[in-house]
Parts: sequence; structure tokens; C-alpha cells
Amino acid sequence: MRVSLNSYWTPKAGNQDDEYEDAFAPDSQPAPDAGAYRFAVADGATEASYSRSWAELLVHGAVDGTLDLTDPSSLSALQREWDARVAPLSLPWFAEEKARQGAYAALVVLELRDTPTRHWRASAVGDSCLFHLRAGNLQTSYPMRHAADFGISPYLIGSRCVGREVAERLEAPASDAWEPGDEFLLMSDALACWFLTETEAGRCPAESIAHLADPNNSTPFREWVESLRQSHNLRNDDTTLLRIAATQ
Amino acid sequence: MDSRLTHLEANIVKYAAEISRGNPCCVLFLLDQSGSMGDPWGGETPGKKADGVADIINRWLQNLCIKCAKEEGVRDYFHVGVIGYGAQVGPAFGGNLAGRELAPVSEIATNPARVENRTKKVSDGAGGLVEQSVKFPVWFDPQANGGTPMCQALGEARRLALSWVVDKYPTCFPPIVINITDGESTDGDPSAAAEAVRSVATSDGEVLLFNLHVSSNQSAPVTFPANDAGLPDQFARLLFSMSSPLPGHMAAAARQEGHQVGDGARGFGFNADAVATIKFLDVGTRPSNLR
Repeated sequence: MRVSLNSYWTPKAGNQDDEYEDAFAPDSQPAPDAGAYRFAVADGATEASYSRSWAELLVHGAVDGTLDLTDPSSLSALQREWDARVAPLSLPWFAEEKARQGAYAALVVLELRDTPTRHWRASAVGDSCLFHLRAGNLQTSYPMRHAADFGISPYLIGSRCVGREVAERLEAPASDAWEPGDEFLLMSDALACWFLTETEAGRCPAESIAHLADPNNSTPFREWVESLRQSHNLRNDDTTLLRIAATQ
Repeated sequence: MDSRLTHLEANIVKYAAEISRGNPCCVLFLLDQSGSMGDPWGGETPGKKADGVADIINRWLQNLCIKCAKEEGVRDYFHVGVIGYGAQVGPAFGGNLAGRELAPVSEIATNPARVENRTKKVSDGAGGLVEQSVKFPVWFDPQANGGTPMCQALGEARRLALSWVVDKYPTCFPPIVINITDGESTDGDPSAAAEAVRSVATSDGEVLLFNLHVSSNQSAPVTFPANDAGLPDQFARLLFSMSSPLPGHMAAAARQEGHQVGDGARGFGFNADAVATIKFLDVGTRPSNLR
């Protein structure tokens, strides 16, 4: 089994790179013939503080297997780690209260396997999304299926919430078979909403995304995102895209 | 051609500007500090109206500071002013911010006039309540004397809003002016002054002027009415007519909070008690699009 990964990210227009609060993993090409691969995208909430740190803990936990969203008790170790990062800090009253409220993030996780059969499995909390493509055609959209499903206040995983709450809000995991040549796209919400809007309008957004990885492409991801924002087709939000191609 | 222009203008989405550090939002409270604000609020709210409203705005400021706090400090998404009107009309902040008409939220966060230790009852986890000491930052103190020079206060609001819009942020989410009063204006009919406030506009819409009447009356509060049909008197109808319609996202927020909000609902509350006042401020200062 061989898998190739392209990752793209950009902060909100007007913000600096170090203010980007999405996270993704892994951040390098996966080794061949691993048998199983995991990928994750998390979207840290702007309204909270230390969201990036929480989003990073979630994606790395999901990819190294520490976190299994279907077993919410596995959240506790990550929550303790987040708390250990924040607790020692000497903070003014407003920052202390903000940290006490915790950080929040949406998370989508994809696992690809080729034993005993070629299959994939995904789990998610919130509105970061997975799209499964075959020959450029959308096979599965998870967990959001329509552009209108994107609300202002999705449920997010809290660094101080109890696992039971997450279990109640976990989207029903999705799974299916994959074939060589299939592609998987993981996205944070703004780009996922654009993707579904384009699909519903009868256009083929997967082509635009495939073009990004084309060696002859002269429009870098950030420029492409900015043009979508300027034309009001993409909400100004941190934007993350993982493009995963399973080649054999 | 005219009809096409009208059609295009009607489709421009207002009150949708992103609130960011580069294009912040101005929130201005006009606070009645007339003698009658020293009367008890009544009902289930202990203490004087002036004390209760001061507590609510101080707590609102506290929550705003927390909302804007990030790892690196407080982000200046908002600039806030409190103009008191009673025996005098002018800025109401105390401490280091005394005399400031508007202050960015980062300065507000780091400059409370003092921090009081108060107690609040919290669950003990076993079905009971225990008292817990909490820090309560105070930015301004209640006052209650003199008349109700509402026209003059609205004039100050127009001056500040105009300076904000023309000199600094012509494309920002429009300034939000919240007038909190318990009585009738003593310096004339405030209708024209209110209209002058609302006529100040950015490219994203006109200034939002919301009016909240606080009362010792035991009648049920009326919040966000769409017309003046159910209002009890001329005074209530006057304040209603002075109030801006709620933008869509605020109307949605009000509905989410359980208010019955019809089409054309205005940012107006009558006979508000403490609970209604807190909810009113929560809806009336809700950002649509914070970056």
C-alpha cells in the first residue's frame, strides 16, 4: 500500500502565520507499506485561547493512536497534557479565566487500511470534513453532507469537557472500501463548505484541488484561497486541506 | 435604471462586516444617572437601579475582556465607552481610564478602577451550595442625581460615532449605542437627536441605537417588539420609535435565547428587570463575524 500526502494551510486573511489555529497531522510523507495510515485535521475555536495547542494535541493523538474518538475516555490524557501546558503560566485575571474555560476544536480523523481488505474508516466531532473521491467523483461526504449543514456553532471537543459529552456528539463513524487511485480530502469547515457549495452547483471542485498538486500549477494554495475569499466564495477563516491519494 | 439600482442596493448585505483588530467595533453605553436611578429596582432584584445597572455593565465589560483574551494578550476587537447623563454628561470610567470617552478592550482589561472580592454561591457537587470568593473588576461606580438630559447624551453619542466612522473606520461594523434609562428626557424631545445618531453610517450600515428602559414596575418586561401596539404609554412608544431594527444575526440570537422576535423587531426593551437587562445587552452586542 502506498499513500501520498499533500498538505496545505493558511491563516485567516489579516492574521499572521503564528495565529493559525487549525492543525493537521502527519506533516510529512507517510512511509510506504505501513499497512495502516491515519490522518487528521482539527479546527481550533477562535473564541477560546490556547486553541492551537489543543488542536495540535488532538491531531497528533489521533494519528499516533493515543486518541480514539469512539472511546472518549482516551481524551483524558490529552486534556491533562493541555492543562499541564497552560497551568504553570502566570496569567492576568482575564487570561486566567479564559484558560479556565478551556480550548475547543473540531476534529476529523481518517484511517486507511489494506488488510484484511482495502477499507477506510472515519470519525468526527464538529464540522471539519472528509470527502472520498473516485475518478474525481464524490463518493462520500462526511460528516457534513450539504453546504446548508454548516452552522455558526458546531459542537466542539473541549479541553475541559467530559468524555461522555463528546461521545454524545460524536458523528456516527463512516467506513467503506477504497480502490487504488482513490483520493481523500480532509478540510476544515470553510473550505469544506465551499467544496459542497460547488458540488451542489454542479461544478467539480475536486478539479481545482487536483490542480494545486500539479507540478505545472503556477497558483500557490494561498493565492488560490485568497482569490476565493476576495470573490466571497470562501469564508475568511483558517483554511486547511490534506489531499491523500492511495495508489496501490 | 433606477429600479435596477434599487434592486441592487436592496441586495447589499448590511451588518455583516468582519470585526477584527484592524476594523474594530465601537460599543457606547449611554447611562441614565438621574436621581430616580437611586430608587429600588424592586421585584427580585435587591438594591438600587443605579447599583444594579452599574454591576451589569461592569460584568459585561469583564466578560468582553475575557472574550477578547488570547494567548498573547487581549485583542482589540472592541472599543467601549460609557457616557453617564444626570447632573452632568460625560465619560463614566474611573481609575486610570477616567475622562476617556472610548477605550480599546486591552486597556479596559488592564485598567479596572479596582478589583473587589465578592462572594458567589456555587454548587458543592453534593446537592448543596457553598460560598466562593471571586474577583470582580470595577470600571465605574453608580451615580444617581440630577435630571435626565437624554438629548445632550445622544448628541455626545453622535459626535463620538461620527468621529469613529469618518476619522477612523468608515467600513467597520457600525457603532452600537445602547441607551439605558428609567425615565423621560428632561431636556426636550429626544426623537431628532436619536435620528441624528442613527443617521451616522459606515459602508456596512447605520449606527445601531438600542434603548432599554429599566423599571421598578412589576409588569412583565417587553423586549424586542416589532411594533408599538402593545406598549403601555406615549413614553414607551417614543423610545420604541427611537430604536433601530435588530440586524438579522441579533434577531436570530434573540430567538435562540427564547425571545419571541417577529420581523422588524427593534432593539428596544421596556420595564426591564436585571435578568432582562443582561439578556438585552447580550443580544444587542452580539458580533456576527469576529476574526
